[in-house]
Amino acid sequence: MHGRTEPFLAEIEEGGKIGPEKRLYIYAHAYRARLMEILADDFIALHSLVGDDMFEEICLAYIDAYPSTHPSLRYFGQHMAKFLKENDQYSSIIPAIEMAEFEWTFNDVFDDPDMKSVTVEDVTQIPPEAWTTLRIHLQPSFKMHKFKWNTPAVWSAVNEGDEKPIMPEEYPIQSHCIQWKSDLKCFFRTLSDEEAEVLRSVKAGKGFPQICEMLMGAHNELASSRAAELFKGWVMEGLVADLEYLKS
Amino acid sequence: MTKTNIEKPFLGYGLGLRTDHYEEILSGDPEVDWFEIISENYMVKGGRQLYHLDRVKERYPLVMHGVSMSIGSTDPLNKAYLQDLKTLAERVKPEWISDHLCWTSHGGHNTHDLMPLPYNEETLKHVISRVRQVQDYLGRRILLENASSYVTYKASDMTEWEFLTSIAEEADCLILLDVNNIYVSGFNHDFDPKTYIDYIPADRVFQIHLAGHENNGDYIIDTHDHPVIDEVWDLYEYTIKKMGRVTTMIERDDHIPPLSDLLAELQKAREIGETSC
Repeated sequence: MHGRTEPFLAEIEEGGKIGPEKRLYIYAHAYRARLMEILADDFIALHSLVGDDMFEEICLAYIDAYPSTHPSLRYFGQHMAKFLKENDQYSSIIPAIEMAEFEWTFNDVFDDPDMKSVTVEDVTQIPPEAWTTLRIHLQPSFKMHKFKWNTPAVWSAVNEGDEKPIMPEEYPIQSHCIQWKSDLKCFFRTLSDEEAEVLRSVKAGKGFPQICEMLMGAHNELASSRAAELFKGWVMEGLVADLEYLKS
Repeated sequence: MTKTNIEKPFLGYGLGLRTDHYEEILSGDPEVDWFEIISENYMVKGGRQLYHLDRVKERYPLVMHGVSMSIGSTDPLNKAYLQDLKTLAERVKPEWISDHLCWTSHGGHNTHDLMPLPYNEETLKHVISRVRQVQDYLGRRILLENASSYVTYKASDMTEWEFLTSIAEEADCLILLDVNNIYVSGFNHDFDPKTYIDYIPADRVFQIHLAGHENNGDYIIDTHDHPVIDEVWDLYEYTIKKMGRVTTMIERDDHIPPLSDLLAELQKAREIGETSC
């Protein structure tokens, strides 16, 4: 198992065109090659970020550290960010950890349940008196992360095949990024601290009036307009999966 | 050997459903009688795979083919996996469900490869018991496929064809015969593929896989990434002459060519299948 052949050698019949060592090597080689291939597919930007040699080193160490525990190969890379964080050799390479997390999140977003997105027309159906009871339900695939580096921009450049790659750059302060799926397509974008806080509250089940209240400090009497502006943006982006309000 | 009392359906000539071909299949209605899906690829909560699967399902009969049941493992049967498989089957409503006669996990770890079993009485009892449990849980017979292999265990005291036949008859399951895999294993272990085919109970063979491989001179790797070679076509013809018409498909797992290439191979299978029985 795990690409090692020695423990099995004594169990294998000799004879034939090739010896037992070579026969076992076929399995050992296929095991590593298959896992390396799936990691290369899942972590294209991480690969680009750390280069061929380090990526191969990381993958081989990861294969030993986290043998596959899921029947589907699709989940094999799920611990990559954790592996990088807990391994002294890589834990200081923050952009690599962030990239592993960002890329893996896309895998989860991709396979998350699909829901139709709420449209602007759906929003116009909300009776004025119902806005005080409104709760916004985000797409089940919605995910939010904090980043210290320009990870989403680097990912974009790699995946869009930009000839001049964007170099990793540390932000002066942590930034937020959201990832979600709408109409079978995966999306991401960065956002302000304010919007991140509001979205966290929406995700936690806070209603529209509470969101307006949250925005009072920064926007005073324009808090409702700001909340409506954010809400409209989410609807336009396909981020909203359902609306819940009391119907008269 | 005992005869089954079950009627053997004939689905015609099919292909493995691959993501590269989704659009062409859905927009062109290619001449394929049915598709086989890799079960694990669709054991997800959502996304494009399920979206396309539902649409293909509206147009074509489907069968489910798994790679991770690990029917021969000494690990307990993976209940979560079987539950996901059953849930998927409820969605797909496949003509049948298949997996491989092999082990793919040990100690909770997955090899993602089809590891051969020692062919002896002890393994036989173990696998028969597990096939029965799986069939009881799924509420249907499953098909087990012969995998290609590169090693023979010292602990084996029967042939693969004897082992597979005993499993099928004693567990009352069905067989997915991969003719290419018989050819590959025959080359790697120096046996005559026809001896294998002659022994297999034809009434339990519900499906045939045809595929290509990589010949490295002194051994063959079952890559399923090349066209079917002439020797395997000949073996397919031999199989059909022995067994009669069997639901058949071209299985390509890697280096997926344009759909038209696979359709041409499928047409060849159709011609052999329809004229050899």
